Amino acid sequence: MSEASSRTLRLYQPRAVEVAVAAGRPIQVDDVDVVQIREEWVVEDGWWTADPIRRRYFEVVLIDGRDLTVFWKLDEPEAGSWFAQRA
Amino acid sequence: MIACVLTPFLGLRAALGKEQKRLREAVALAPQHDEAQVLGEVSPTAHELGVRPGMSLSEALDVCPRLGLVPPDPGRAAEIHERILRRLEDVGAGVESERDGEAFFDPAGLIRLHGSLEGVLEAVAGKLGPATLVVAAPTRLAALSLARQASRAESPTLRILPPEEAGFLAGQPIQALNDRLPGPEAEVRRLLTSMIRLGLKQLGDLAALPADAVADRFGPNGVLARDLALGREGPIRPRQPHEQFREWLDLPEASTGSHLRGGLIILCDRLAGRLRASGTSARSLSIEARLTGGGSWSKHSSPRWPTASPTILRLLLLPALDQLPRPAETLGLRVIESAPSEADQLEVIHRPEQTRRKRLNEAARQVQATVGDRSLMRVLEVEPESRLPERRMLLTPYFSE
Repeated sequence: MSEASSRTLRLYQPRAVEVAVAAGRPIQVDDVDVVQIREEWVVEDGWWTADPIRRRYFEVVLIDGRDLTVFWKLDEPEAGSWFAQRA
Repeated sequence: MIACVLTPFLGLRAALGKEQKRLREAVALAPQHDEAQVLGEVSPTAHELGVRPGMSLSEALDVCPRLGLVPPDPGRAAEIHERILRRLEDVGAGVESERDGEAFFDPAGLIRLHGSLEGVLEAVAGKLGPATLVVAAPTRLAALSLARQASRAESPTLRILPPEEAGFLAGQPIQALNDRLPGPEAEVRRLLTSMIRLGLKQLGDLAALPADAVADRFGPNGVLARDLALGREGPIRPRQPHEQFREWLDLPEASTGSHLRGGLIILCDRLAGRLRASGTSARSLSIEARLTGGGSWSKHSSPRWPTASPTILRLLLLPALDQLPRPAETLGLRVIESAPSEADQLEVIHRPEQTRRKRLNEAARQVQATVGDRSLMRVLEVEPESRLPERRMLLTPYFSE
């Protein structure tokens, strides 16, 4: 048996970010203002497993010109559970 | 003399795992979903109740309604068998084995070391433990029949059949040839059934017939069966001891479809890398999977010629995934038979693209040799259509093609 499986890495892993929210929508990401929400969608997957995934995604434009995709987990609605991810 | 090492009920024991006590109940190996829907090995209790290997499911349940079906675990059985073969080779035996659970060797070369034939058999039995039986007889068929008889005895012991007991083979039932003849299992069974219908109950009956009559009525397999009944067999052809090439991948969650294909591509790349590094190629290999909910699945494949090319391995193995009966927890590749790596061929036709690729691979190989395996990585699309971005791509070590 080889050392095998540990040598592969997943790309596009989510990373935790600080997001300020108003009325359920992001208004700041890591203290940078959001100027536009371009798109919004929900992803539900693995609902047939013990560990289902439910996320609400937002594609936002920041004031410094960056286009960013962030999401929060619908099952963990408390603050601090926002993530940024290349999508 | 030929020594036979038999591991009775290997398939059942491997499939039962920690529940070995169930071997005393009426249980049988369930068929694999992509094979004929007939029973595999049956436990002694089930055998007493009239259940036989090769019986159809409906017939078996009719004969014995409380029969328990155990999902087969061919991967584990092959693993245990390989361990037995390696132990035999450690003792110095040149082992021939075509089926899991059975191995043959010529004990002549070991007699000087252990003093006598009994000494050789005792040394081997001591090395392998009580789950196996070691017997010796003048031919493979006689040794196997003797071992099978011994496995049914209350207290199996070492047994040696002296050459003068030629009548032993003649007294064996025709069914002893069941898995000894080449060709599809169903065809062999049909041949033996027709022999029995014609009144040939024992091997002695077949051996007594003239060769031309047997050839006329039963064809080439009939002649071969008669030769076996007469004790005419070729010499032992020991396998070449080789380095074991195995690659396994733990799948993150019960996987099917494109995820599984991605995993197999990674395994092909890794295996090809290891084969090339050791100057070897695969002549025959098996793809194995441990399934969710217990049991395993395996499929043997052989390329047209020995290869260490990841592309050919993928082409060969990817279609086999369609036959996987359930989602898998782990996926693996194992080289069953290896061969020396193919020699470099001189170029007759100029193919610039291949030449460029060859040079690129050589460059990659040199970079890896200098900086390490992880210096070059490859992005592999595993689930490109997944709605979860982290599932779409993997970063895996780069192996040259």
